[in-house]
Amino acid sequence: MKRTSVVQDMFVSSVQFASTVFVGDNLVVDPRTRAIAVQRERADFLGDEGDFDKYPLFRRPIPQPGLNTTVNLSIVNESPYISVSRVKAVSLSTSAVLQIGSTAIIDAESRIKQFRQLLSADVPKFPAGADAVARAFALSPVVGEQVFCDEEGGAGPAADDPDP
Amino acid sequence: MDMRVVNKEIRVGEIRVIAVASSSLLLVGDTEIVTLSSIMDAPPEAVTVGPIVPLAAISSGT
Repeated sequence: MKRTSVVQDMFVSSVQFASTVFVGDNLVVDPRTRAIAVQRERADFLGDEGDFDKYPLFRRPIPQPGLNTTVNLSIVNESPYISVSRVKAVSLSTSAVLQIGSTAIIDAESRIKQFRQLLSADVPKFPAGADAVARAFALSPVVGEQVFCDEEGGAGPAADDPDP
Repeated sequence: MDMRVVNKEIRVGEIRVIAVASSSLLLVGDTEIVTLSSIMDAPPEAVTVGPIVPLAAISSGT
């Protein structure tokens, strides 16, 4: 018998590229991701580049672990609730799922092929800081402030009362 | 094999996450079977230095 999930507050800033925020119970969640990630030192893209069929990575079977032992599983839940005061997520992207509730079967798969195309080998060897590192690898800056700062401007998370 | 699990109580104050991405899940709840698979391919031949060659587009069927 599964427990009831109790969440008081949930904040999500961005849900992109076939992602889901789900409140409720579910039977099967099977997200699939295929991505060709191209990072270029000069960001010029034709707009129609990339064909998944050209790379065997996206077709190869992924071996699954076998069930060699029969397991008789019994579960006793002393509390009927799973309780969380607050969930804050900045972003969900590319077949991601944020679920409050139970799901019986989760079968997730992600296949990503990366390309890095540099113009020259002249990459700074001793970057000045986080910004220089990000520029060198053409990464996006991480937006962490809205997740890690309290609205009331305190120094850190207060001792919240997690009673539902 | 006999396995017995006793869940006492779980109470969490706050969960803060920057990103859930690429077929990932953040789940507050129970589950029975979880299967996760990931292939990340960044071989040496995928790093090139020199004039940038665009990737081939999807070839049309006719």
